Amino acid sequence: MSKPSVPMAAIWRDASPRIDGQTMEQLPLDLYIPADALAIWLAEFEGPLDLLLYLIRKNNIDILDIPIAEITAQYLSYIDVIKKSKQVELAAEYLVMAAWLAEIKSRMLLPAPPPQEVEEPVEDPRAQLIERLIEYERATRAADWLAQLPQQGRDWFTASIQPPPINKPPLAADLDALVKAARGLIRRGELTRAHKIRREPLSISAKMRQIRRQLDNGDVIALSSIIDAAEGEMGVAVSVVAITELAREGTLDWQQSQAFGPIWLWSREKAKGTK
Amino acid sequence: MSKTTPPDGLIELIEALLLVQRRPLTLSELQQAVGGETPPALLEAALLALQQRYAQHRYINLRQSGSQTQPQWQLVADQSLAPYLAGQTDIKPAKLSRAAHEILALIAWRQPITRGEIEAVRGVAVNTGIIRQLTERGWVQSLGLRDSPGRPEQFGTTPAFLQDFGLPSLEALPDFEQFAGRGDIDV
Repeated sequence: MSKPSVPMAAIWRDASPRIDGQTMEQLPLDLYIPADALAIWLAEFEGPLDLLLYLIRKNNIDILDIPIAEITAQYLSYIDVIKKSKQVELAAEYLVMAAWLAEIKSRMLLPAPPPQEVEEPVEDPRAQLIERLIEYERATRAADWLAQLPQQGRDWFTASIQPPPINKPPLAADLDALVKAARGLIRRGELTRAHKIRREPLSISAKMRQIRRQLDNGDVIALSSIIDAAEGEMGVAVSVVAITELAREGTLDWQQSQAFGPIWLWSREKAKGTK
Repeated sequence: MSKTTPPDGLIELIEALLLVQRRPLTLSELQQAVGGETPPALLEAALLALQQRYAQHRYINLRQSGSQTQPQWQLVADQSLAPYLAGQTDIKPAKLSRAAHEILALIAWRQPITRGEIEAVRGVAVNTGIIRQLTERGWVQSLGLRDSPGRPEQFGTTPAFLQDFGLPSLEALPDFEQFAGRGDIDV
């Protein structure tokens, strides 16, 4: 995809600060600016990098050859103005930049390190500053490029009409189809007969009554006579619960004389009576 | 009738299709809607005819955006309508500040980007209100947290950003490096 080229000339911006529409070429020499006016003047800049770029442009300096000493001096004079107007919070970011400029300046004043045997390229202390300035310059120009694009809601508006609802029209009534559907339903009903599920007729209390009756009738009864094979597993479970329940309330007792031998149950009340 | 003269009905069908969509349509989208058997050349001819019709319209245009290889079309009202919309206060979005444009540009070109990275380029703290303004405008969205110390939030642009600026994709943005190079800053 071919990328659109950027019309550089079209997006150039005049960064000169203005007060009351008048371009301010330089600060008053007596350095007296009313605090409000300074705030307006500084508001024209987006920060220390912007101010620095402005100074570089104003002095027609090649960015690759920034006379750090000169620029730092100028920059500091601006900081002075900010300090004098007591707008300290406004000045914080500018002070960081001033410190950086001063650092670069001092590093440039230092004598170059003696040439090493292994030749290492000595980095210009200004290189990082230049990188940042160029990156910031790109951001500002990219912003200008975006701003000049035709924007929806500002330069153009979507034209639209409401589409019709895309629901399908209702089908015509069809008696034949209705009868056919009903027949189908009836046929299906014949194939699948419903089953009624009944509750198991076993209950623990009924079993307990049955066991009591059996105990009343005989002296000692076998466990096997209580359990009815026809009642299945559920019958066994219900019987066991009923027996333990009766044992708990003291109605009966049981005994097994040998392992796997028959279990005998008897009524405790009757046993007491016979003693 | 020659082979590339679109039938009258096709022009109006395309017009109606463009009108019911609030977004630009590509040639293949139009072809899909019209019916696959319509040759693209015929669709293009119909679009051209439609463009000529709307050229006479004072307020509405058939706007072509996107790239040469993948153009897209949308029916739009242009700037000449704006004065008549002034009464509807909610329709006019707030003007973006220079700082907001710079932040939007960095998010568009350098996404995913964190607040710290924006601040590093601009040399000033990022005003939270600006990120919120761009988010409320529907142009900027959170791209989640970066897996690095502090887990900073990352920002990127939305499809609405591309649409509102008439960009078919992020690739349509010019190279960021192109905006300035070494030796370019001196005036």
